[in-house]
Amino acid sequence: MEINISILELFKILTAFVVCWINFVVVDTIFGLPKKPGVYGAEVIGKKIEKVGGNINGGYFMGNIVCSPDASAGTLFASIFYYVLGFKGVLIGALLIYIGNRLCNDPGYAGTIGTITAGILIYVFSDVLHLISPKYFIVGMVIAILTIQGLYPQLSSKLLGHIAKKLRVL
Amino acid sequence: MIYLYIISVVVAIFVGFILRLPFKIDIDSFEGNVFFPTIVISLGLMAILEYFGATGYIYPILTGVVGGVVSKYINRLFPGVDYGN
Repeated sequence: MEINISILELFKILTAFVVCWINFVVVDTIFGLPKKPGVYGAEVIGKKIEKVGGNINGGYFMGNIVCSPDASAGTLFASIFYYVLGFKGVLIGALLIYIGNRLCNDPGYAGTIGTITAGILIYVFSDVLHLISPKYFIVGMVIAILTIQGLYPQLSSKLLGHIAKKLRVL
Repeated sequence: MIYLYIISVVVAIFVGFILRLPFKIDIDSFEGNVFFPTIVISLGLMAILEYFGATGYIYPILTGVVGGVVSKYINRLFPGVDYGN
Protein backbone atom coordinates (compact mmCIF):
# COMPACT_ATOMS: atom_id res chain seq x y z
CA MET A 1 0.00 0.00 0.00
CA GLU A 2 1.32 3.39 -0.93
CA ILE A 3 0.92 6.33 1.43
CA ASN A 4 0.84 9.81 -0.05
CA ILE A 5 0.90 12.73 2.36
CA SER A 6 1.43 16.22 1.04
CA ILE A 7 3.38 18.94 2.86
CA LEU A 8 0.12 20.79 3.53
CA GLU A 9 -1.39 17.74 5.23
CA LEU A 10 1.74 17.30 7.34
CA PHE A 11 1.47 20.93 8.39
CA LYS A 12 -2.20 20.43 9.33
CA ILE A 13 -1.35 17.32 11.37
CA LEU A 14 1.45 19.23 13.12
CA THR A 15 -0.83 22.16 13.98
CA ALA A 16 -3.56 19.79 15.24
CA PHE A 17 -0.92 18.00 17.33
CA VAL A 18 0.19 21.27 18.95
CA VAL A 19 -3.40 22.35 19.68
CA CYS A 20 -4.32 18.95 21.17
CA TRP A 21 -1.11 18.76 23.23
CA ILE A 22 -1.59 22.21 24.75
CA ASN A 23 -5.31 21.56 25.41
CA PHE A 24 -4.90 18.30 27.26
CA VAL A 25 -1.72 19.13 29.17
CA VAL A 26 -3.05 22.50 30.38
CA VAL A 27 -6.51 21.18 31.35
CA ASP A 28 -5.10 18.09 33.10
CA THR A 29 -2.50 20.16 34.97
CA ILE A 30 -5.00 22.79 36.10
CA PHE A 31 -7.32 20.09 37.46
CA GLY A 32 -4.53 18.64 39.56
CA LEU A 33 -3.39 15.41 37.89
CA PRO A 34 0.27 15.90 38.91
CA LYS A 35 -0.70 16.55 42.54
CA LYS A 36 -1.68 13.08 43.68
CA PRO A 37 -2.46 9.63 42.29
CA GLY A 38 -6.19 8.86 42.04
CA VAL A 39 -5.86 5.09 42.33
CA TYR A 40 -3.20 2.58 43.33
CA GLY A 41 -2.13 1.91 39.74
CA ALA A 42 -1.31 5.59 39.16
CA GLU A 43 0.91 5.62 42.25
CA VAL A 44 2.77 2.51 41.03
CA ILE A 45 3.39 4.13 37.63
CA GLY A 46 4.51 7.41 39.24
CA LYS A 47 6.99 5.69 41.57
CA LYS A 48 8.33 3.51 38.76
CA ILE A 49 8.97 6.56 36.57
CA GLU A 50 10.73 8.28 39.47
CA LYS A 51 12.88 5.16 39.95
CA VAL A 52 14.05 5.17 36.32
CA GLY A 53 15.06 8.82 36.55
CA GLY A 54 11.90 10.85 35.93
CA ASN A 55 9.87 13.32 37.96
CA ILE A 56 7.38 11.94 40.53
CA ASN A 57 4.69 14.55 39.76
CA GLY A 58 5.00 14.00 36.03
CA GLY A 59 4.80 10.28 36.82
CA TYR A 60 1.55 10.76 38.74
CA PHE A 61 0.21 12.77 35.78
CA MET A 62 1.06 9.90 33.41
CA GLY A 63 -0.31 7.28 35.81
CA ASN A 64 -3.59 9.16 36.18
CA ILE A 65 -3.89 9.40 32.38
CA VAL A 66 -3.47 5.64 32.10
CA CYS A 67 -5.85 4.81 34.97
CA SER A 68 -8.79 7.08 34.11
CA PRO A 69 -10.11 8.88 31.00
CA ASP A 70 -8.89 12.41 31.66
CA ALA A 71 -8.51 15.33 29.24
CA SER A 72 -6.22 13.20 27.02
CA ALA A 73 -8.94 10.64 26.35
CA GLY A 74 -11.41 13.54 26.29
CA THR A 75 -9.53 15.27 23.47
CA LEU A 76 -9.35 12.03 21.47
CA PHE A 77 -13.08 11.40 22.08
CA ALA A 78 -13.93 14.97 21.06
CA SER A 79 -11.95 14.60 17.80
CA ILE A 80 -13.59 11.29 16.89
CA PHE A 81 -17.12 12.32 17.88
CA TYR A 82 -16.78 15.67 16.10
CA TYR A 83 -15.65 13.82 12.97
CA VAL A 84 -18.68 11.50 13.18
CA LEU A 85 -21.53 13.64 14.56
CA GLY A 86 -20.48 17.30 14.76
CA PHE A 87 -20.65 19.34 17.94
CA LYS A 88 -23.49 17.35 19.53
CA GLY A 89 -21.19 14.33 19.30
CA VAL A 90 -18.79 16.22 21.59
CA LEU A 91 -21.58 16.53 24.18
CA ILE A 92 -22.30 12.77 23.95
CA GLY A 93 -18.55 12.16 24.30
CA ALA A 94 -18.41 14.36 27.41
CA LEU A 95 -21.21 12.30 29.01
CA LEU A 96 -19.43 9.02 28.22
CA ILE A 97 -16.13 10.39 29.54
CA TYR A 98 -17.90 11.49 32.73
CA ILE A 99 -19.31 7.97 33.28
CA GLY A 100 -15.84 6.51 32.62
CA ASN A 101 -14.30 8.96 35.08
CA ARG A 102 -16.71 7.99 37.83
CA LEU A 103 -16.07 4.30 37.27
CA CYS A 104 -12.34 5.01 37.69
CA ASN A 105 -12.63 6.88 41.04
CA ASP A 106 -12.16 10.34 39.56
CA PRO A 107 -14.46 13.33 40.31
CA GLY A 108 -14.68 13.91 36.54
CA TYR A 109 -13.84 17.60 36.12
CA ALA A 110 -10.66 17.21 34.05
CA GLY A 111 -12.12 14.74 31.56
CA THR A 112 -15.42 16.48 30.83
CA ILE A 113 -14.01 20.00 30.70
CA GLY A 114 -11.10 18.79 28.54
CA THR A 115 -13.60 17.19 26.14
CA ILE A 116 -15.68 20.34 25.86
CA THR A 117 -12.68 22.69 25.43
CA ALA A 118 -11.27 20.34 22.77
CA GLY A 119 -14.66 20.34 21.03
CA ILE A 120 -14.72 24.15 21.03
CA LEU A 121 -11.16 24.29 19.64
CA ILE A 122 -12.00 21.79 16.87
CA TYR A 123 -15.17 23.75 16.07
CA VAL A 124 -13.16 26.97 15.77
CA PHE A 125 -10.44 25.41 13.59
CA SER A 126 -12.74 23.38 11.34
CA ASP A 127 -16.11 25.13 10.99
CA VAL A 128 -15.27 28.77 11.77
CA LEU A 129 -11.78 29.22 10.32
CA HIS A 130 -12.03 26.29 7.79
CA LEU A 131 -8.35 25.49 8.32
CA ILE A 132 -8.07 21.98 9.77
CA SER A 133 -10.80 19.35 9.48
CA PRO A 134 -11.53 17.07 12.49
CA LYS A 135 -9.76 14.02 11.05
CA TYR A 136 -6.39 15.75 11.48
CA PHE A 137 -7.17 16.23 15.16
CA ILE A 138 -7.58 12.46 15.60
CA VAL A 139 -4.07 11.92 14.19
CA GLY A 140 -2.71 14.90 16.14
CA MET A 141 -4.07 13.59 19.43
CA VAL A 142 -2.68 10.10 18.89
CA ILE A 143 0.76 11.66 18.28
CA ALA A 144 0.31 13.92 21.34
CA ILE A 145 -0.36 10.93 23.62
CA LEU A 146 2.61 9.12 22.03
CA THR A 147 4.95 12.00 22.88
CA ILE A 148 3.81 11.97 26.52
CA GLN A 149 3.54 8.24 27.23
CA GLY A 150 5.56 6.47 24.61
CA LEU A 151 8.75 8.10 23.37
CA TYR A 152 10.85 8.92 26.42
CA PRO A 153 8.92 8.92 29.76
CA GLN A 154 11.83 10.27 31.83
CA LEU A 155 12.04 13.49 29.81
CA SER A 156 8.28 13.95 29.36
CA SER A 157 7.67 13.44 33.11
CA LYS A 158 10.25 16.14 33.87
CA LEU A 159 8.55 18.45 31.37
CA LEU A 160 5.12 17.76 32.92
CA GLY A 161 6.48 18.43 36.41
CA HIS A 162 8.02 21.68 35.19
CA ILE A 163 4.70 22.76 33.58
CA ALA A 164 2.86 21.93 36.85
CA LYS A 165 5.28 24.14 38.78
CA LYS A 166 4.92 26.96 36.23
CA LEU A 167 1.11 26.81 36.47
CA ARG A 168 1.42 26.82 40.29
CA VAL A 169 -0.48 23.58 40.78
CA LEU A 170 2.13 22.04 43.10
CA MET B 1 -31.77 23.34 17.57
CA ILE B 2 -29.62 25.16 20.10
CA TYR B 3 -32.69 26.25 22.11
CA LEU B 4 -33.26 22.61 23.16
CA TYR B 5 -29.86 22.58 24.84
CA ILE B 6 -30.40 25.95 26.51
CA ILE B 7 -33.76 24.81 27.96
CA SER B 8 -32.13 21.57 29.11
CA VAL B 9 -29.34 23.38 30.97
CA VAL B 10 -31.73 25.89 32.56
CA VAL B 11 -34.08 23.11 33.75
CA ALA B 12 -31.12 21.07 35.06
CA ILE B 13 -29.76 24.00 37.10
CA PHE B 14 -33.27 24.79 38.37
CA VAL B 15 -33.85 21.16 39.46
CA GLY B 16 -30.42 21.11 41.12
CA PHE B 17 -31.35 24.30 42.98
CA ILE B 18 -34.70 22.79 44.12
CA LEU B 19 -32.90 19.64 45.33
CA ARG B 20 -30.59 21.88 47.43
CA LEU B 21 -27.34 20.98 45.75
CA PRO B 22 -24.44 23.21 46.88
CA PHE B 23 -23.41 26.20 44.74
CA LYS B 24 -19.73 25.88 45.58
CA ILE B 25 -17.63 23.98 43.02
CA ASP B 26 -15.07 21.71 44.74
CA ILE B 27 -12.90 19.88 42.22
CA ASP B 28 -11.71 17.32 44.79
CA SER B 29 -15.22 16.33 45.90
CA PHE B 30 -17.15 13.34 44.58
CA GLU B 31 -20.51 14.97 45.42
CA GLY B 32 -22.41 16.89 42.74
CA ASN B 33 -23.14 20.61 42.84
CA VAL B 34 -25.61 22.83 41.00
CA PHE B 35 -23.41 23.17 37.89
CA PHE B 36 -21.46 19.92 37.75
CA PRO B 37 -22.30 17.26 36.66
CA THR B 38 -25.91 18.47 36.03
CA ILE B 39 -24.94 20.40 32.88
CA VAL B 40 -22.81 17.57 31.41
CA ILE B 41 -25.49 14.92 31.99
CA SER B 42 -28.38 17.03 30.67
CA LEU B 43 -26.45 18.17 27.55
CA GLY B 44 -25.20 14.64 26.81
CA LEU B 45 -28.66 13.07 27.13
CA MET B 46 -30.19 15.88 25.05
CA ALA B 47 -27.58 15.31 22.32
CA ILE B 48 -28.38 11.57 22.26
CA LEU B 49 -32.14 12.25 22.07
CA GLU B 50 -31.67 14.86 19.33
CA TYR B 51 -29.57 12.40 17.35
CA PHE B 52 -32.56 10.04 17.41
CA GLY B 53 -34.86 12.81 16.19
CA ALA B 54 -36.46 14.05 19.41
CA THR B 55 -37.17 17.75 18.94
CA GLY B 56 -40.26 18.39 21.12
CA TYR B 57 -40.17 20.70 24.16
CA ILE B 58 -40.82 17.78 26.53
CA TYR B 59 -37.37 16.24 25.89
CA PRO B 60 -35.14 19.06 27.22
CA ILE B 61 -37.33 19.28 30.32
CA LEU B 62 -37.00 15.51 30.78
CA THR B 63 -33.22 15.51 30.35
CA GLY B 64 -32.89 18.51 32.66
CA VAL B 65 -34.84 16.74 35.42
CA VAL B 66 -32.78 13.56 34.94
CA GLY B 67 -29.56 15.63 35.05
CA GLY B 68 -30.54 17.30 38.32
CA VAL B 69 -31.68 14.10 40.03
CA VAL B 70 -28.65 12.06 38.91
CA SER B 71 -26.36 14.87 40.10
CA LYS B 72 -28.03 14.75 43.54
CA TYR B 73 -27.45 11.01 43.94
CA ILE B 74 -24.23 10.70 41.89
CA ASN B 75 -22.12 9.58 44.83
CA ARG B 76 -24.49 6.66 45.49
CA LEU B 77 -24.69 5.74 41.82
CA PHE B 78 -20.91 5.84 41.24
CA PRO B 79 -19.34 5.98 44.71
CA GLY B 80 -15.89 7.55 44.96
CA VAL B 81 -13.37 6.56 47.60
CA ASP B 82 -10.64 8.69 49.17
CA TYR B 83 -7.23 7.58 48.07
CA GLY B 84 -3.82 9.18 48.23
CA ASN B 85 -4.83 12.01 50.58
